[in-house]
Amino acid sequence: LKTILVVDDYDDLRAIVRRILTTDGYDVLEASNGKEAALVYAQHRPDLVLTDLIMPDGEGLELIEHLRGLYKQVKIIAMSGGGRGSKANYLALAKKLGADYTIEIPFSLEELLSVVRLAIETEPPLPGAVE
Amino acid sequence: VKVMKPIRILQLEDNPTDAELICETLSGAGLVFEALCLEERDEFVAAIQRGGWDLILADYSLPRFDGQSALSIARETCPEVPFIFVSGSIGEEVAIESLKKGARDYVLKTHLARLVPSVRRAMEEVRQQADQKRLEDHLRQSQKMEAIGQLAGGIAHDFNNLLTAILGYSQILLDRLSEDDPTRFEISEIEAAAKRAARLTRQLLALSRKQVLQPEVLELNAMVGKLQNMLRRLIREDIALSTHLCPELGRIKADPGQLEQIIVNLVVNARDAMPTGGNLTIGTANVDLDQLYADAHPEVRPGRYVALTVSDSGMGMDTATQVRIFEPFFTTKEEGKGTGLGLSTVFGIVKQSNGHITVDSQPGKGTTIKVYLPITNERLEIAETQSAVLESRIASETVLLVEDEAPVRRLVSRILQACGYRVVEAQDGEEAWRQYQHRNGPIHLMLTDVVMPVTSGPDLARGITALDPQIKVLYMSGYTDSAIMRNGVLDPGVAYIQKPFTPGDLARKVREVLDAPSKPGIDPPYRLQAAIIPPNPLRETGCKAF
Repeated sequence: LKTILVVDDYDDLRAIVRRILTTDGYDVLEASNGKEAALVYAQHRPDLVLTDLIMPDGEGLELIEHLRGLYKQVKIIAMSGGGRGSKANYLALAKKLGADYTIEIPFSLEELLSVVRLAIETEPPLPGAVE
Repeated sequence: VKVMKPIRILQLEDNPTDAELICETLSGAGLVFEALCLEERDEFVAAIQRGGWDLILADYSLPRFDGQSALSIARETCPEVPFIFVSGSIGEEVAIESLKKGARDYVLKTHLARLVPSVRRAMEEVRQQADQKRLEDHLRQSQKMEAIGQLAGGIAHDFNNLLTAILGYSQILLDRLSEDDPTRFEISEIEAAAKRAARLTRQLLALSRKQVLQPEVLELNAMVGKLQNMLRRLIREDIALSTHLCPELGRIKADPGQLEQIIVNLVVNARDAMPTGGNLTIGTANVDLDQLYADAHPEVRPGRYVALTVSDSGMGMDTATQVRIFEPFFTTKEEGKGTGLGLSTVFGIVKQSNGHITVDSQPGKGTTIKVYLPITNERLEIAETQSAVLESRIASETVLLVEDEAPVRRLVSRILQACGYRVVEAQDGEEAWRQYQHRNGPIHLMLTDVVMPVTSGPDLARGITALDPQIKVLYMSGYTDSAIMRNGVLDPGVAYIQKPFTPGDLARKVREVLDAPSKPGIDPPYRLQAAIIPPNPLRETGCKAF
């Protein structure tokens, strides 16, 4: 069973994303901010991290930078509904910092599942591989 | 015990023997169902329009009607209800054509053994589709509410800065004018309008779930009891208010002011739903929301809750309205009668307090809104009555003021200087460090905004207090998205003042923080203990007139 860490400070959305993913056969871990997520990741090494970007203190972007710096194999999907800037800007920045995929909020159930399946099924680059 | 709901079957069949045989096949397999059998077109159309069917079983050829037409009518009116042909032989091509047009299956009367698995499969598919749809709906709604919340929070943040300047300068002007100055009236009006705007901003913050909450262990019954007189004044004489309070109610942990707001808003809402009078009931109960319940409501954590119920006997509402009542600016009241923020404020507070809210209503049958708040095992806290005695003296300490919004910075600086403080200003973390390094004598207090570009207030405070453990820190913010307040709950050791504040509020708070004893052994900047200060006008805090 593949494990996905869902990071969002908004409890309702996190709960529903959890339900959607568990219904689709994934194990789900949750964190409500970037710092908590970094700890959960270190302990459980999930197969995928699905993180919101706009959380207290901009921790979504910091989390991506942190995980990418420490764990080369980590797979990350960044999601954003935009904050004070446009969502495209945030998502572009997330990609630059190391997110593999991005998804704009609002997304449909199908959109979420297809990006998650894509991320899970894609093999991570071998260590030392040139992009 | 889970009671299985019977499958409601609409049967289109002209031969009573066949109809009976089909029903026997189904009941023989243990399926629980209710079937209505008919054969005329008009009857079929009427039954379809009445709705409520789980399954349609139709013969293909009938004396005065036909299966193909029945299929088209059913697809048009209720495409979600599975339609299965149960018929004599009609040939492969016609069968395939029927499936293409939306029939779920085709079962020959000569092979009725196939009927049961076909029905079971159809029912399972319907269940899965319903689950999927419910999830989709939840997903859409929660993303919508999150987007609205973020927008509202952002607006409130900017407004609080503006309002701090408007409120502050109007009060400075009022202090400067003599009692009989003719312009006092106009300035008081500006001040009053700014205060109303500040209240609206608080509502916006509530629905963005970014309010600063100061939760306490509470007994809901006591709260309702305390509010009863006020609530009676709030409703009209033609409304009878009654309470049904559970005597052994669990304790909850919530912000008392916010809980009061929930009760008041729900009561006002119930009142407005009964323009010609009626009954308003407030109830409390202990409730277990179990896994089964949580399965149907993905946003709910199973557990023990206290339920607060507010019911009215008013006009009620349809499902379409119920779905939207917690959206901000959605109102069914006449224009100008409501802000459309009452229930969305309730929703925001409940959510930020880890609670859950439901609405149960039917047109003409009244409305019941239930708020569930998690039960806590913590004991009631004895309210601290320690109050600091404020000295009426001119202040002499130095304050490092860090604020990126220039109008707010200028205002705050002016207020502090009028109180006698020396003020060193900085517009961001970097400048604050520079000012700190080139300081001329000790800095007693750092008064800093929380959310600033590059370095946040808490990060700056951590850096400076590491070097200088004696310095005290007071945060000011109109917003809670920060490290000192996880999920909007203020760390009890952090000194904080909410924007917009009045000059008097600020002067009192600064004095209080400076006078509070340092608490050694706790990591900075979490070492300040906020004391409870009785409200005092600005002049009593030792400030000169501006």
